[in-house]
Amino acid sequence: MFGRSRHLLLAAAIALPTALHAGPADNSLTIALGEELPGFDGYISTSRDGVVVTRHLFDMLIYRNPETFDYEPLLATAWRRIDDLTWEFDLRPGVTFHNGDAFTAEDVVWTLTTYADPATGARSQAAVSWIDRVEAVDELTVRIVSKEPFPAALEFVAGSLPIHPAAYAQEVGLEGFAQAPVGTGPYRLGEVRGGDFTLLRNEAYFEGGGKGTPAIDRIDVRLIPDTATRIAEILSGGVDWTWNVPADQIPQLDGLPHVTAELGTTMRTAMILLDGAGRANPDTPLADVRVRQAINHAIDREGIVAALVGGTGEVIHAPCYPLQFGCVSEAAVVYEFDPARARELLAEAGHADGFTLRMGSFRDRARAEAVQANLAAVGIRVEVEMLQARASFSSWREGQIDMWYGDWGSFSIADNSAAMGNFFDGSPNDGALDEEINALVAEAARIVDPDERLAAYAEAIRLATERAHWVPMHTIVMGYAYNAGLNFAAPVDEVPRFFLSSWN
Amino acid sequence: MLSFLMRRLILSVAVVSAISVITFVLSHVAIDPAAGIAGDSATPADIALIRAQYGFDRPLAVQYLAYLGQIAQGDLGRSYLTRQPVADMILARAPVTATLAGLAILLALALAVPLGVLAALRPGSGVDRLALAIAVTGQAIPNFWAGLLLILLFGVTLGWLPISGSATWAHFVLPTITLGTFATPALMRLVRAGMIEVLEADYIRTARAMGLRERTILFRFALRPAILPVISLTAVQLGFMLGGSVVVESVFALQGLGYLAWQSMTRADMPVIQAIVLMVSLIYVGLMLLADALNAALDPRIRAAQ
Amino acid sequence: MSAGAARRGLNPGVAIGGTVVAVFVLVALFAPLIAPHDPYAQNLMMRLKPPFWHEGWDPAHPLGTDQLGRDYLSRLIHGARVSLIVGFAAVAISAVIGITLGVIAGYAGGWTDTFISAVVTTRLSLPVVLVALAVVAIVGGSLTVVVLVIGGLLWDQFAVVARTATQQLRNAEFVGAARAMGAGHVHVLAREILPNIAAPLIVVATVEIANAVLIEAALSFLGLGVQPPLPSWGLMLSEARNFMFFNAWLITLPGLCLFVLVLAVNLLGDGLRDARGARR
Repeated sequence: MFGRSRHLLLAAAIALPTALHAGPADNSLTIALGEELPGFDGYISTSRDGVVVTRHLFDMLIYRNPETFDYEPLLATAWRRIDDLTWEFDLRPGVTFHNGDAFTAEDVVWTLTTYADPATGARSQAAVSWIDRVEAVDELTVRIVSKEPFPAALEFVAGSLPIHPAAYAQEVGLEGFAQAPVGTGPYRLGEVRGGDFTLLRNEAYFEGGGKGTPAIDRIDVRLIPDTATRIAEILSGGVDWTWNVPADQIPQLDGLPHVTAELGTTMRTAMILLDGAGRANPDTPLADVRVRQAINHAIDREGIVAALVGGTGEVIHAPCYPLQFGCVSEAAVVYEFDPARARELLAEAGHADGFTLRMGSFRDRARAEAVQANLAAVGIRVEVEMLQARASFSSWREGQIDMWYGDWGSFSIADNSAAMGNFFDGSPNDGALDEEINALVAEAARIVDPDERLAAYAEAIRLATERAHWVPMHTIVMGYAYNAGLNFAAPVDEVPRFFLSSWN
Repeated sequence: MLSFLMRRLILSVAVVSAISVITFVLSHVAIDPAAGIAGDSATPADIALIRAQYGFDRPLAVQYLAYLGQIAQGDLGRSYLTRQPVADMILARAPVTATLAGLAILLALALAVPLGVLAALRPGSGVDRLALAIAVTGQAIPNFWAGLLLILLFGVTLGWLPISGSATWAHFVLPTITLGTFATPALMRLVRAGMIEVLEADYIRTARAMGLRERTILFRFALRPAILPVISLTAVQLGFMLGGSVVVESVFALQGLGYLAWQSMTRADMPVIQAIVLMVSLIYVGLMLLADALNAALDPRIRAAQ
Repeated sequence: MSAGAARRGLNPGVAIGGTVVAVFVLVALFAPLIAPHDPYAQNLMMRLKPPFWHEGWDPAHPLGTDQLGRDYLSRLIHGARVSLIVGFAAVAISAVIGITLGVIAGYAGGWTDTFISAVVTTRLSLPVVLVALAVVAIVGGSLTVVVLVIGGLLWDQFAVVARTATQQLRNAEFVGAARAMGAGHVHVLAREILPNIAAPLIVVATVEIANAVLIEAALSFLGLGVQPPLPSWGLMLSEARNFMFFNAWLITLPGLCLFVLVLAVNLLGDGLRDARGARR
């Protein structure tokens, strides 16, 4: 009795379709993302996964070419500077939103005005706070006026400002819009099942824009927060594409015939933020600059990069991405790996017996533990708290931890105002609350003359590193693993573009 | 019997109340609920505003009563993270957990009953030893380890079964095996012990002496009384599975209540944690009550003892 | 185990299980002396070295190294400490709680008994893993918290068994004799009753030790138990998940340790129970 049923069970198991999707057979793509999206509103969902999905559902006025970094037409066909404060955009005619509404200047005016208003709650205020007002010159021409001269304006227009349909969004309200979004992008939202959802190709997507014409008919997005499970799904073929694969798994994954795995550069930088302002602990030892400098000396950044980052990862010395405009790395004070010096500094500061700190992190537990061991060697006991990305960042913003080993992608914007501008600004991100530096950073965002901007940022970087408010760690390499039959180019700016992908 | 049930019912209500008080106090004391609702972009002024708006500055006892009132209306609050109503989140995930637990208990019974009966029919034999060995081994394997090994073997190496998600019934195979086999040993031992005891009874020997076939004796006379204690243990095990599902759902990325509970705990999403602990406790208590009631109803000795 | 083999204290269960448990205890006690390396020492150049049954293994690390270059054998040995500390400490706490409640309930009877039985039923109605997770999530994880939480939750069987056993002894002759000679209640409880109910409670203890070890492993696996860099087997399993596809030993070894320890404890418990059963 038992023997026969066992054979039947095996036979049934072999005959089962192990993959729910057909991939190349029906021109669909199944991808696995790690973060749950609270909604599809691009101004609220600013996590990296949210940025990726937003780029598929919505368009900006301009498209920055991922290879050349040139600006190309998207929803705007031409643009010009009218004066120091004003940019004018000619809008593309004949574009429709996913629900059939026509795209006009009114949509641009409404979207930017609504989200520039702090009350709306856009999560990255740096992306919108520079906007003073938006005016429609006519149906297809629009002007954006900034409060002060803002040299990085086009970067933000291309990177952070998706356009929403005014009529629809007002009708369903912001919360409704976040659950049922409508945009002009190459994909529209299909079915939503819990954390999973489907993106369907927008048949009516306009031609001639920087994003081209999408080839893949359907993208099934699955929420798999657990890295090991995502890797398992790639191995078994349950999923066609995923990222956030640990660097040391890449060579072995790439060795498999049905998988391509590679490391892509990003503009993301990792850093350890120190709560010198004492939000988590008013008596924090981190208030003393010598303690912060000691921590900088205690961490073996070269060792961590060599062993735990992989790919093109490298140590950074300034609190920004080296290729961003305004990231003057030469101005930074460099702290060599010197545990003996660290101990000296701690003793000088009166902490020869060490103390305990809470550190939050999310990206890579091994790196967090490596830092923990480095600091333990100089007498600082660190309790590591690993959470998901958003929760981890929130714990830093809410002042619940002393140190945050996190990273920042600057929304892939190639300007230091998106890096230091988001952390030395007195916002919940700011753990230093250094008014002198904050003033310099704010001013540098306003100055038009490039050389003066560089000088201001150089001074800010010098002060920030001298006062050791951070431990600038390293650049992040992103591990991608996907079906070997997929034409996919690992993007330099960490925004995978499936509208440029296709099956072999 | 009725008074027994009434007493147990009152006790159950008291238990659930106690649990709700404990979780309420813990979650409101550990994290400032106003900060949680305000989110991480909020200024202290925003937080103070929300505290007044939601009444978090009232005495804890008053807040608890208000909380009870909300529950009575089906309002379990909103998640700090997604701002969705917790009741909706729970309803959306409950079917997955229910399916998993149901399938797991069926698997456990399907394995435990035949094995236990076979072992009882020939105590001390090879079959019996094997069954006991399986029981002892099964109880010692950590179920999350078993889950990982199953994923490695059947999911990745052999590629026979899907690894994560809950789209088709095939997705439930590995999780069910992982969860169900954990309950099998205890159930099997109970079946075996019960069967052995019954098979030694006088009336069975009489039936044998009268020449009835073994099979008839087994199914018509022995099985039913031996199964009685198993029924109530099954209810208890079903309750265990609700707790064990946290681990299994995490390993297999099944979007059920257990996974939601764990995710909320790693994100300090208090309203969700509170609601799930309350829900699961309710179900648990209900199952205990059911088990006791079944026991009392089916076993005359217990009733007589009351 | 068959009744024939269950001679007093020397049946296979007690023999094998007891020996293995004793080995684990010795390993845990002398861990710093036995372990070849410091379990916390990271060596980023020596990451993910395979164990001796793969080629390319390093003689300094017979069981390989983990993702931070820490010697796996040393971590497994120190992991025994964590598991056994949790097992014994948590069970000690729950034994004290449970036996106290059970003995008082069994001895006093009446309303005390009813009340304590209600408390026990309350505890039985709690979903243990979920409550443990919730408490740790709120309070924060550490070895101390885990021991306290598990100890505070696993006392129910102690209470039930102690109560039943005490009830059976309450009316025994030697108890009546002691009371007649003027012994106070406490004396009776401590000198007459406790020693005589010890046997079944030891069996309960072994079962609960196994439970405690598994629950700690599950909590640490979920990230809500012992915190890194402590070498808990459950935590090691969780840390190894990203690497298990190409370095399977990272999960088979800690899992095996858990399995063998719990199996041995279960065998010991079964053996003790059979030994008692054979004596009756």
